[in-house]
Amino acid sequence: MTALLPILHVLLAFSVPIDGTSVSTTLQSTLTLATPLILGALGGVMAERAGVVNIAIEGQMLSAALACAMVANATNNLLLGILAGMVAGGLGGLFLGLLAITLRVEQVVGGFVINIAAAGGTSFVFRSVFGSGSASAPPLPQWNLPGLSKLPALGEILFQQNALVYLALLLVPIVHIYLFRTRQGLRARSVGENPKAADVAGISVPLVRYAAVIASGVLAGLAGSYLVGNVGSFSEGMTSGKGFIALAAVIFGKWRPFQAALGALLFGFCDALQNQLQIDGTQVFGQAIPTPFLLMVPYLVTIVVLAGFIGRAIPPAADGVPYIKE
Amino acid sequence: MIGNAPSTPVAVVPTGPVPGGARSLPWLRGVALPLLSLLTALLFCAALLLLTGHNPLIVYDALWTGAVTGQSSLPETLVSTTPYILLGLAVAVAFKASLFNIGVAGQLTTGALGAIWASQAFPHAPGILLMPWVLLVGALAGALFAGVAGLLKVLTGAHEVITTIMQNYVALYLLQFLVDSGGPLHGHSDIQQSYYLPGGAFLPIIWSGTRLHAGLILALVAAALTYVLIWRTTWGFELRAVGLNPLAAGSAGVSIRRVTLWSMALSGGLAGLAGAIQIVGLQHVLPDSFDTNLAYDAIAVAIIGGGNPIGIVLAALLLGALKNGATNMELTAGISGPFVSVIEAAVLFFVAAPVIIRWLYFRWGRRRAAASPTRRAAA
Repeated sequence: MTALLPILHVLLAFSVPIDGTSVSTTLQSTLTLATPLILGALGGVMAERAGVVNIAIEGQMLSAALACAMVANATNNLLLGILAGMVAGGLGGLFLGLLAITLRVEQVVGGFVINIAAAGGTSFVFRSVFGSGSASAPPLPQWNLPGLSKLPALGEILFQQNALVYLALLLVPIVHIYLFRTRQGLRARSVGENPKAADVAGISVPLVRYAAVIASGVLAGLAGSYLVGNVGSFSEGMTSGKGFIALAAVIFGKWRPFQAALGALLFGFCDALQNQLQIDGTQVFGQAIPTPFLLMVPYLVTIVVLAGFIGRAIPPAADGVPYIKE
Repeated sequence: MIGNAPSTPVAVVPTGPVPGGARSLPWLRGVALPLLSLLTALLFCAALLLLTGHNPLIVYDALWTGAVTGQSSLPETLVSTTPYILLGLAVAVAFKASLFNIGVAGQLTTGALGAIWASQAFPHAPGILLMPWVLLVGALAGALFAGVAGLLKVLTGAHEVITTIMQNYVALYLLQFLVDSGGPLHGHSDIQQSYYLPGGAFLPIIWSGTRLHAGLILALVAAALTYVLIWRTTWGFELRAVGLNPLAAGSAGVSIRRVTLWSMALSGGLAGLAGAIQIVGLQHVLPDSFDTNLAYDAIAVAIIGGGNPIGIVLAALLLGALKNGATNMELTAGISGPFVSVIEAAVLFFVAAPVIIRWLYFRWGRRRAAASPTRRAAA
């Protein structure tokens, strides 16, 4: 955590001219922007704890976003769209499982097969179905939690969000409890640390890994659906690297749900901050910061944070290693 | 594996030997497998087209016309092939050292930026001197940019997959800052692009009446040199040793850190050269956007090409043809252009999962001949 302090100092130094309302807007949109990253990071934790690197989160998010937009657009029902997105993400997870577990393709290569297929496939389907039009979907409604949303300061930031934000926050402890407090979670982790021992103990390594990547894909699918629900439409390449930032959050969080979510919040904060700085036209040394530099911030912070952890992030021992039963 | 562990003992060999397969049929991996993968992918996509109510023959015919037989189709395909050769090489070089360089789009951009900047440094220099200078600076810019990711990996263990992807976006916004109005490389027009390259520095056209420039020759030379470097020098041997087994290479006295750093720099240098060649040979100006999918395409070229230079040149040709044929396919067959990316992904899938091809074309025949239950039990 100490590695973060200098970064936060720099960021806070920039945000000095921001007034009170800007601060609460920034924090509120931090949560809005962090939600897909939290969901993606939880997906990454689920898969990697069981020993499969899901580098295809980006592609699963993107195909889920399209599936969500198409179904929501056709039925005018966002809930059905979200379900379709989860199914699409789960199928993406299943596909990765097929490549990485059954066919034993090198996992990062298999993941990129999915990413490439998703990037091209979503553009193809989108243009075939919608032509030059847009795939609009009903946006996620804001849901003020009764009572809590009236809390001073915190209410506005935490409890005037949409349902998927609450769900993402709720899923953090759920994934944690699943992984560290249940028998199934223990099995998943044992498969990720020492598949041979797990196998000898009678656990089906492929089965556990398939379950993990499918769950991972479903979470990525939820993240993709959220992106559509948040802006109310699909656009080509709309994930713009969020799946990879989520993976950076996984490493940042050392493969633990709470810390990974914290990483996602940090990246969300950077994104919200650069938005706010753009709106405020914040000046440094008497000159406005050029917009491209502000847009760069979340990506730069990801690099800096990733590099800030010197030799301390140790992945699950069998992460990325295919298991071959003898 | 996507961790900060500095040297993961997992070799990243995209089309490496699969247990119990290729050794029995050595010719399979090099020639038959890619061709059968292409064939299978085309059949698979034909089935997709049939399912969606298109005639695959019409679609493929339009694609072929757009890529090869149509007017100026072939030279244009070769124009598209040129950067793919260099980008595919860039990814493959890193692969050989067990590194994933997903940042070739960003390195291509910094290479192009370097080229534009360098051309302004000596605007009155004779073209014969200016052109190699511009290409050199472009390659160096790409090498430096990728070198940052290599350095971070060496110093802190930050995984290059994440850092290079993030660098793609950093490069995109850097490009916007530098060439948009108000930026130091902005041209004298309302269009958001850089200034033009001085005419003397243009690469010569090698097929008169077309846009095909000498960049193709440079790319082929780069492929040959890369082959020599990787397979015929001590440096290349060390690189491959680190890629295959970092623990063994380390024990044998190879500095993994040095190899990591230099192979990232070489990889970025090739991508930067691609960017510079696009400027010097084709565009002569740098607009403020680039195709972020280029990074994906480069990975596809490297994997389909099996990590060897000849394969990469052929895979680049395939991708160049697909991308170039897309426009005609869209116009005459009425199917949206990104369908070629679906074909690309299908080829990639079958190349990456050679088990399927083997099962489809080889085990079937044998299974019919041999007694099947024993085979299945053995598998």
